[in-house]
Amino acid sequence: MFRKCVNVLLSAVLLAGAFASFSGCGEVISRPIDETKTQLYIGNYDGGVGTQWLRNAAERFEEKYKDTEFEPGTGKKGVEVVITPDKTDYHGVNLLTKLASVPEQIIFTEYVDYDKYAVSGSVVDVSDIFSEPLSEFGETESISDKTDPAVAEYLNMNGKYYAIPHYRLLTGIQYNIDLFEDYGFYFNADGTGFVAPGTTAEEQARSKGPDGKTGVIDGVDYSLDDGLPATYDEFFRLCDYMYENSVMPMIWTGEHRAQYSGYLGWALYADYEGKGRFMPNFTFSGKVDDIVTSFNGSTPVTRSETITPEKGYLLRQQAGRYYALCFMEKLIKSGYCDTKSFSLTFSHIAAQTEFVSRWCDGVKDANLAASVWPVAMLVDGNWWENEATLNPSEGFNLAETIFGESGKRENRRFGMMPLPKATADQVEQPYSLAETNTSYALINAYTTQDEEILKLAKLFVKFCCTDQELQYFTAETGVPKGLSYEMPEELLQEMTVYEQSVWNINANAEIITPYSSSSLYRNNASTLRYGYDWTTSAYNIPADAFHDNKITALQYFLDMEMSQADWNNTYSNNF
Amino acid sequence: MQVFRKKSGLRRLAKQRAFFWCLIALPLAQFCVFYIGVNFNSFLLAFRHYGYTEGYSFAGWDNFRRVWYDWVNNESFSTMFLNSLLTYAVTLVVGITLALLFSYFIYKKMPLSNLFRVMLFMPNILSTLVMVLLFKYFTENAIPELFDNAFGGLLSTNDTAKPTLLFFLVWTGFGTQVLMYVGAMNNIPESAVESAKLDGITPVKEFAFITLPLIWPTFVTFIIVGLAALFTNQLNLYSFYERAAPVSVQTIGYYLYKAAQGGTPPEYPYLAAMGLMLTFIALPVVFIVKWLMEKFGPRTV
Repeated sequence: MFRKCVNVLLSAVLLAGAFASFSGCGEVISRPIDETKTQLYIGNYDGGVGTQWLRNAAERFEEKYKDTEFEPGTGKKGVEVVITPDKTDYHGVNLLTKLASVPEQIIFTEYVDYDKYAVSGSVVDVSDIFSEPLSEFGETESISDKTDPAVAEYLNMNGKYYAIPHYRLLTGIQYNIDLFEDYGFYFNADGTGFVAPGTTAEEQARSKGPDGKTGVIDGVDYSLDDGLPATYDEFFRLCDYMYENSVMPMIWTGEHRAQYSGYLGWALYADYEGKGRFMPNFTFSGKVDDIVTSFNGSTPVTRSETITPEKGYLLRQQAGRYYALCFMEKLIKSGYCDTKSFSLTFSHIAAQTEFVSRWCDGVKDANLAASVWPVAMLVDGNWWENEATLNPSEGFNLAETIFGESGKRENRRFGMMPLPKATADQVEQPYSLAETNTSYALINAYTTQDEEILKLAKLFVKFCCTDQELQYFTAETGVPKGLSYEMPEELLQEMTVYEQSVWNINANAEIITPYSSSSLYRNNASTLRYGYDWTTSAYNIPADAFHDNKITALQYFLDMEMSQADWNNTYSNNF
Repeated sequence: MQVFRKKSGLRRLAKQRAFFWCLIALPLAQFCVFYIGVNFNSFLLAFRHYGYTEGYSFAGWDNFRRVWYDWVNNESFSTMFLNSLLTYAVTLVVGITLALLFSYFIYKKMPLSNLFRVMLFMPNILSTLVMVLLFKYFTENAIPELFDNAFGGLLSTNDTAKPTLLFFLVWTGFGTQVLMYVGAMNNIPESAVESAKLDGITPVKEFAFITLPLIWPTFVTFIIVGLAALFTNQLNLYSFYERAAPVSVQTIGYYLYKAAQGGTPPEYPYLAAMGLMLTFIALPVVFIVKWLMEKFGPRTV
């Protein structure tokens, strides 16, 4: 009898275990829901952009459709948006394998390998909402009309679209305007020296910056970069000056330094090349005129080449890469980077925290040792200011604890720095910068098989793409959406100085969307997209190579060269 | 009465079988899907090309040719192969030797042996990721701090990264080995040891001529299992560095894991071909070593 009981008990445990593992295939929703309304479940990647924007949009959507019946015959009226923020499952790298087991119908995410999703059958074909005008919201344009043609072409998979562009992530150098002004880190009008500490632009004229212009011309304000370094030479003169004043010029995360220091190299490279010479890296077509053939001293000697898929390997030797490497080498070898930028335990949040909390409003954190200097610049993306507000004991919240009211985000002035130019003859050329991420809204094919729910999900996605919602998104997060729209002045004024500077760059710079529909790019995106081709046989992170101090920028550049045979071996299937 | 007993016995047998199948069904299904199915698919994939818009096409030996080309021409692969071999060699020479000595120490109940048992098994109680995190902070922050930051973190400095990673691998690998060796040593007949002691055997000779021969099958198992994992051991690199481990420390196991984890379907055929080629190298070596160790190793009968 005893053995029988044990057997039954063991079997029950076994079955329970099995059912527990099966139940992982469909999450049981334990949240209380309003049964008088139709539920719309939305997942959101809760990274630097956060989730507050979605909560606000959901409230507006619920209000707008409070009297609408989405499921006729059920007696339900209105919609209840149930939001799940998550940092792991809804990250684009992990999401594809999770879609079948999550209850969410819409997911806003980033780091999406679009093609992988499009062919998986896990996401819904959204061609209809992509191309039809947003007329139910009083607009004449469609989402397609608002999308960059290069992105639209990339999203077109055999005539169908499976994702809607979400936000636009731009990366580069962020700087502390308050600190620049307080120390006088702006170049004076003739660029021979620096302005007096504590002087504003009105009190003492500054140089024209990398755009070579000042004032408002044709409605564009060119004065925002005034006093900032116009060339790499000026940038390093500025770094010298900062060092003399016991200010650490630069910091970035050591934990993710491959990615974040890569942002800097990528931004410098894109700005040097401009859209025309940068896009062949993805389209494998077009003409470039800066393939390095040799060096005259440290100046590259270049030639022109028409790029085809067979000649893609030549792009590893574009002059922009060489100049970007030179910049990185000088920055790191001169000690202009905080040593923490090379520690595996120094996170991006910690870097943001050091950036905002070592110094504020003319005062250094009294708890810091004399050897710890304020930081003038941070390598990060346009989401950093929002991200630095999200954690209670870090970022701006820590700065507020240290400095009081003046440490708060809204009382601080930061800016996104238009990058200096590699050579003096490039000054006045437009600032070009490339997106570093792919961020989309996706509709989950597993959870939207009900026709009415699918309609509702599509309606919400369209709602999020109306001009007003795009503007609210940017006002809330400071991050531009990956669609074209204007920002009204009253919303701009509510944004922080940093967010305004990001918007100004988004609106006026040449934004490169580094994707293409070429078969070579599509099928090899993991090795051809952002920054993964800056490798040599000994190094895969330029910042580490220069930190090791065993290689020069020139050697690194030459080692990056790829032979035609190597290129053919890797990519010839897609020529 | 006999018929009743027979029927009762059959029923019990049926119940036992049902219980057995309940136990085995799920693991068996998993084995079929995740081992047989996956490997069979991987085998087919090695002979195909795939493009998002083009679909599948027959590739013949092209994927194998591409892998071979990279192995021969790409210097990074030489580094990765050497690192994989070095990892195995260190595990073999340092890891297994020390594990044997510690196990013998514990088996002989020498002073502080219980403390050693706990200390060596501790890393296995904690999750690898927790250990990685603790170790990362210790080597990146604590050790440089002890030396007034005269040098950078041990894992983020190219010259010190590899020895630090190998130390971690050996250290965290002791637990299972010590547990198995001590278990095997405890099964050694007390009479054999007593008899040897009466003959005046020294502890070193006892280890060499009694203990080691009697735990030889366990020892062989560890050698073979380590060898079979030669090209899959990723030296915990993904846990420490995610996708950005320095080239100088990368192993073939790390390369394959990273490429499969972050790669795209068109790249999988190449990886499948590489997997098959590595199996083609590792399998005969494993069998030869196993045969040699069994043939020439100490015999207990």
